[in-house]
Amino acid sequence: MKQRRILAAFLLAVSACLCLAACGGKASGYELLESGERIVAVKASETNDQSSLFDVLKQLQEEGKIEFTYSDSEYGAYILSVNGYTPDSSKNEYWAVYTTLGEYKEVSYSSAEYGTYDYNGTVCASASYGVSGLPMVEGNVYLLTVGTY
Amino acid sequence: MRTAREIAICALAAALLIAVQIALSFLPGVELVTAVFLAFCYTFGRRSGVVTATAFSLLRCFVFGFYPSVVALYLIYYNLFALLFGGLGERNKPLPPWLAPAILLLLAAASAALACLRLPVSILWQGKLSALLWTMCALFAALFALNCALLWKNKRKDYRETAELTALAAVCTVCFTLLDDVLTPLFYRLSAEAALAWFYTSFTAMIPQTICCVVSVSVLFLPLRKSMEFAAKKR
Repeated sequence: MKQRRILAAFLLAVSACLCLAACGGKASGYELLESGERIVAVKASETNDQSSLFDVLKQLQEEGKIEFTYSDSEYGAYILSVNGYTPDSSKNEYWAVYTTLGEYKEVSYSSAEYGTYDYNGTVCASASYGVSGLPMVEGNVYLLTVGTY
Repeated sequence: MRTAREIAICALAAALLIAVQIALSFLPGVELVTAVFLAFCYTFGRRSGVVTATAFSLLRCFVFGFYPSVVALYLIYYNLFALLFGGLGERNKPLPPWLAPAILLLLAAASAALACLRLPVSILWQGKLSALLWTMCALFAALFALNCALLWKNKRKDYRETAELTALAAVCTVCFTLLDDVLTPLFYRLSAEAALAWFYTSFTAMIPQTICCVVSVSVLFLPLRKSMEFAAKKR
């Protein structure tokens, strides 16, 4: 009986750690620059290390400004469709993420080596993380656009 | 293949593995394939294990898609897994008693060292990674203590066997991600910098999978093995 209780407590502790790890942050301080069928642009107006681009997209969806679907994985959310557009896999299309956020707190968040996107004169580089791994840092632009590979 | 029965068992096992993978695919980091396949290989041996591993690696693509790097990863990993655990099941001698505690101590120390270091991943994931690494360290330390206690008290052979196989399964799960860290950058021709970023990011997948593997193998191995032995004997 005692052994069972210890095992149950241990499993509960592991589950609690995993649940805590899965929690997302609360989005704040952002501006929706554009929301079209093949592009969504967001600008961070304040820095929030607890909030990801994914949190912002979810909040924008709650506010009815955009619509998107996604699938979850160990690497975070994978965007499936935005504003009704699902990339055509036969044309090797996918929802690509670009950002002006380069190095921040000794971690690199984008690389021009894998492509750039000129958004109204602002050059954004291909993001090194998906929407769940990009923090909102003041003054930076984040783009979701249909890319090909 | 010796008999049609053996082919049928391998086919059923491959179907079961795919079903288990699909059933839990909506829960990131949660998988029971390791526990089920380990019990299968241990009961039915290397040959059945290799046939099932190959069938599972190829047939799962009809559900999850054909991605060359993933196909290569599954074919290499699960065949080696089948050879290891199938071979252990066919062995009559027990493993050296120091092996499992040594592996667990090494894994606990590695987890603690990584938790103390600040891994260069997204700032959003650093807290989660640190918490998960400490959880993994605690899990391996607990398993180490359990192994030592079982050895010291000379407890039932099947408990000791389960503890040893859990330790080996945890190492294999870590190796699965490390193999992916080699294959994916090679297939997609990633630069050294991108490959390193991929390596660090892969910890977010590896840690929950390893924790899940340790819990599932230690809890499910004995009942799964008993039911598979029952199926193997039944004619």
